[in-house]
Amino acid sequence: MFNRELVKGSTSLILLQLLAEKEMYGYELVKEMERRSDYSLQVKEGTLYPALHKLEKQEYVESFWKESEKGPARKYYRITETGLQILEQKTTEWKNFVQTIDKVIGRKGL
Amino acid sequence: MIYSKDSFMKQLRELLKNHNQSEEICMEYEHHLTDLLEDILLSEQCTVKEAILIAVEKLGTPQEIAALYQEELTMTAKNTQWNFFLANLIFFTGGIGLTIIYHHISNPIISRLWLFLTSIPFFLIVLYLFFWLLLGYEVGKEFGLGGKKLLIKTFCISLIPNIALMCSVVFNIIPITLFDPLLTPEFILICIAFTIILYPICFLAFRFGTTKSI
Repeated sequence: MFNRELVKGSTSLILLQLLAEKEMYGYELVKEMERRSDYSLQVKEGTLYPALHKLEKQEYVESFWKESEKGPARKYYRITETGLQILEQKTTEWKNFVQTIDKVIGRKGL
Repeated sequence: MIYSKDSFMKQLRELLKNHNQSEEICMEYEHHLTDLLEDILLSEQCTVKEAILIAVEKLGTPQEIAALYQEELTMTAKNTQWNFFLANLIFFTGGIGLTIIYHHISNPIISRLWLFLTSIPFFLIVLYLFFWLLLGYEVGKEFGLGGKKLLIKTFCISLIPNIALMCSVVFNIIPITLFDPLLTPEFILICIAFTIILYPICFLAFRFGTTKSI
């Protein structure tokens, strides 16, 4: 498990990345996030929807209801053009940050 | 304590009743809770009541969820737009009020304040630019790249006091001598030039703000 604040700060970036690959509904996003991180990234699931709604308000994602084969209709989210723009920008920033921190704290042989 | 899905949803509906998308938000949580309970019951050897407790631990209590939506209720597009308009109006009414008091009431403190402020006009302009930088930055940070329309709207509304005062002075509705020695023709020209570059400045701050939006 990682520091909660660290995860909180990167939740939006992770959500945008997952939605850039395919449209998903909330529970699916949580499961996908857990699966890809080998269950190391566990967010308080209730925080996911306010994050998604904020991304929707910022027009980085859009939502729509879709009938499911089993069970009720679900609210799906998909990334928008502006969402892809900000994702690219923030991914570059994140990679630079990680590289820099790695340079500073990384030690050979460890 | 919450022992059933219904009581969880009842509490959440009650807490979110003032939210304009309350029903849609609740439906999302209800579906999420249903999926979560199904998974817990499949993977853990537990009763429904125990599963509910585990689900609430993972999802958060209705109070915790509702608190997350409180901030959203205060940072609406309408609030942002009117807050900036009012802030700018306060600058203007403050300045006009000080000018009127200075001309009508002989008070050493007011006189000193007036003389001090009129001796640093360019510093005041630079300081005032920060207000417009803040406007662009805040809209960009809160509403992201999708906030461009809001930026234009907020900018136009907030600019009303500037345009009104500028027109009043240029068309001599307010006597220019009232603002002596501040409003020299050069200073008025500088003010007009600054007003023209306000939007580009505001837009740059908006773009910077969007980089902090997620």
